[in-house]
Amino acid sequence: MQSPEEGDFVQEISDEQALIEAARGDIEAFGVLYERYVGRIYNYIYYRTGSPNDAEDLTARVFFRAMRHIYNYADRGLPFSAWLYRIAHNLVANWHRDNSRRKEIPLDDGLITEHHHDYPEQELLKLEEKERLFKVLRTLPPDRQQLIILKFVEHLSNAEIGQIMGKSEGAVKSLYHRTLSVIREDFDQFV
Amino acid sequence: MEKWKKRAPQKINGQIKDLESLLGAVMAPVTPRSEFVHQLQKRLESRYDPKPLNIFQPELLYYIAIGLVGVFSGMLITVMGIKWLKKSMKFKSIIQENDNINDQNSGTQLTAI
Repeated sequence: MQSPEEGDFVQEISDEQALIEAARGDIEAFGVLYERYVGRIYNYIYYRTGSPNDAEDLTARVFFRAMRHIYNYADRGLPFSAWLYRIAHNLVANWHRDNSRRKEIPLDDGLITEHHHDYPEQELLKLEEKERLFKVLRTLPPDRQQLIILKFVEHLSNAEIGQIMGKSEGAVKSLYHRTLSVIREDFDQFV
Repeated sequence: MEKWKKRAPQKINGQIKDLESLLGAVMAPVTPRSEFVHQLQKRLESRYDPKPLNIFQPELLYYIAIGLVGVFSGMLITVMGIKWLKKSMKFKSIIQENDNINDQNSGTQLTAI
């Protein structure tokens, strides 16, 4: 017997499956999928690269690749988003490999300098803290960066993250706690 | 010492909680530029290629397999049918020949009488 939430999830998956089938021969159906996921994929890439320009470029590549290979997409009970994240993950990995000579990835100005309040000292401290946190995040292995982004930007559950990363819910939970411990240690040391 | 042992995990948990709230505050979702979203959609539409014929599609392979089985079984039935016809014709001709020989034999017997 399925719970109402499980029923909704199954319904969502089957709706999406119908949309994917339609998208194989209909641009409008593909457009619906695009509108549904463009923001999420952009966010993911943005936090992985730290650059809005590269995020736009890579997001475009993700959707072009998805459009070319949608015929090969096979329904294995995984959401379509997991497939898109997998493409994005591979493209970001290639991007990092191509840009490996760069010592530091520029952080977006909008991320750091967005608030101007009455207490500039406090703001400065917050800003430094933020910058330090991003530097620590960038030193993490790709799968851990992915986990943190999916958790804090996309607000996905461990089960959903597991589907995207190809891990069990327990493995995701364990990786999450280990990652937080590493971030905490590095964050205290990183000055 | 016991106090320290009891407090240490709580302290770590507290630090983890602080870190989680910091991450939650710092990693806010970002909206892509609407201009970029629209332009990309247009580019995708212009390069959209309708469904090509893919012979490796499971459904198509299924139909191809059924077709091939149909053709081979048809050929087999035809060959077996021809063989059966040949056999039956041969059998008929043997019987006819036999009848003729019998007729001839009976004819010679009559003339002898």
